[in-house]
Amino acid sequence: MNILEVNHLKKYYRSPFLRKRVRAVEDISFAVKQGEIFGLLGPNGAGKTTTLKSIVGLLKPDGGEIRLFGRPLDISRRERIGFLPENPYFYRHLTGYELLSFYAHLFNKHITAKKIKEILEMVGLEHAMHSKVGSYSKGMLQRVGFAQAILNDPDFIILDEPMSGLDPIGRKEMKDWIFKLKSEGKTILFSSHILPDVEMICDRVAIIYRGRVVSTGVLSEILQEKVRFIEVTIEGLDEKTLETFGKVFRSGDKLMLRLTSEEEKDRLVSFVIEKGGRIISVAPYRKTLEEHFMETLEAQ
Amino acid sequence: MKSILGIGINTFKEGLRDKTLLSVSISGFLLIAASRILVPISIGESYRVITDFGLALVEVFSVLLTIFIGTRILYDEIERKTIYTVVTKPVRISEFLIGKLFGLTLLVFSIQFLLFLTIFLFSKIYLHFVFWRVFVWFFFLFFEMLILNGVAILLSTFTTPITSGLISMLIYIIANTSNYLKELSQMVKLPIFTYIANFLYYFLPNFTLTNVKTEILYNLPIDKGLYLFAPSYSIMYVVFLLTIATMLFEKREFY
Repeated sequence: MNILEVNHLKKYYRSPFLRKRVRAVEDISFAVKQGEIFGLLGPNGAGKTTTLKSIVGLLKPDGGEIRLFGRPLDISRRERIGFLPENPYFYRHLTGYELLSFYAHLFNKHITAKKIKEILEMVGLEHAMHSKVGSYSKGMLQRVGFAQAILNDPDFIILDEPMSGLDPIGRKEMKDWIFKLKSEGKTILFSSHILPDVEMICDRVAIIYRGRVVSTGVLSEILQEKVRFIEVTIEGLDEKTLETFGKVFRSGDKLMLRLTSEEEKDRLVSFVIEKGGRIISVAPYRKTLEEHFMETLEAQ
Repeated sequence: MKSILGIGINTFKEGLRDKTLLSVSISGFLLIAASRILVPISIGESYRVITDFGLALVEVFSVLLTIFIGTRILYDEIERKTIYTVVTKPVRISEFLIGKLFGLTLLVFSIQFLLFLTIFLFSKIYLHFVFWRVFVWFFFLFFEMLILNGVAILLSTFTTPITSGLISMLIYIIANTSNYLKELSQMVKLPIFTYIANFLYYFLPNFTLTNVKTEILYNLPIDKGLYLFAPSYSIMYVVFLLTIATMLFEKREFY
């Protein structure tokens, strides 16, 4: 079941003085399935934030259709979603606890003080819950932002650049929270340009470039298709015996060869066994998401 | 209702920290204290002069508060991007605006009441005289300010604080001179002027209808119907203002 469907989304801005139409999103289509972590990738200005803002209703699309839980976005759908904007800004005069209490007032469901404290503890702000938000660091703001996004126990959580501004520990924690939400059956859509993070946590991704989706699919499949080379490690033979298969690298008493096809690999393995050598390992080296991302963008 | 209350209280708390509020309020209190210098020059009518002057000060400072804070109330929310995490929650734009109006009205009312109380105590302590009927004036002022707060909220949905401040001030002036406007339109026989004057008279708020200061200061009777008219007129006008504000704000996008 699709939690979110975005079909041929278009959004244009008007430049301030000449009122010239500037493209923000040209043709974005993707769907997010229930229970998955979906990543929206793209360089700065690709249209990620515009897409997310259109989904949550901060922007009004100029074309296309957005369906949340099978229906267009309305006030009742908002009860079931959580949203963390990019570089979130909050009321500086409130404490972390007061801020979440304020947001709790905006939902129809009753959110208890106990629940607010639990969420603040979960995001590591228990020591700062009675400090003014104005005194929070960027990382703390991101944490309180995440806390407000999950306050209503939403089914679908939308996070715009959630790792931005976080230190390595913070990023690790954010990933852990996202995994925790997934394990609770929540669906998560997030945008990022930090590719290793996306690679680590996403089930599926859509790569956006200049307002269009240029690649989409299951991450493991995208990357599995793209084996760069197969590294075979051998023992018990010398370089000269193996040089017909290509360049041989030595590491201690081990030799390594990098082959570009399965056939070559099979031939080498048979050859090594026949010559009395030993195969230590056969490791396919796949493309990283970063390499796939760069290649996709270059192809555009 | 829960969301309106939450937004209102938050607006009130945020307004309390506003430096403009502090400076306007301090100026108001200082001027009230300074009104003592009017005692020797008021030729035996000091209680009337001081009360008149004091009430005018309360009104002026209430208007200034509305203009300085009310016209920025939505602008700041959009500029600081705090609105992102509010309108993406299950809150209707109308609820958001009613909440903002509630918070602003509470804030202006609190300061207004403190200024009013200062004048009241000032009269009692220094002049040993109290116009108990000034509470009636305060009742009518509250409903005038409610309308002006609504005007400020409406204007801030589509203009900058400076523009909406100037327009709010202009509307306040016209609202207090509506009866002259009507008389002027009858005196000047230009059809276009009559048309404009009639439009302003009927369309813009009219505070001259509920201005009872003279009646209070000179112990004249006040039409009892006004006690019902002021709240009804004010609430209906605010509903009208908020309806337009909601329609305009719903069209807004938050980049």
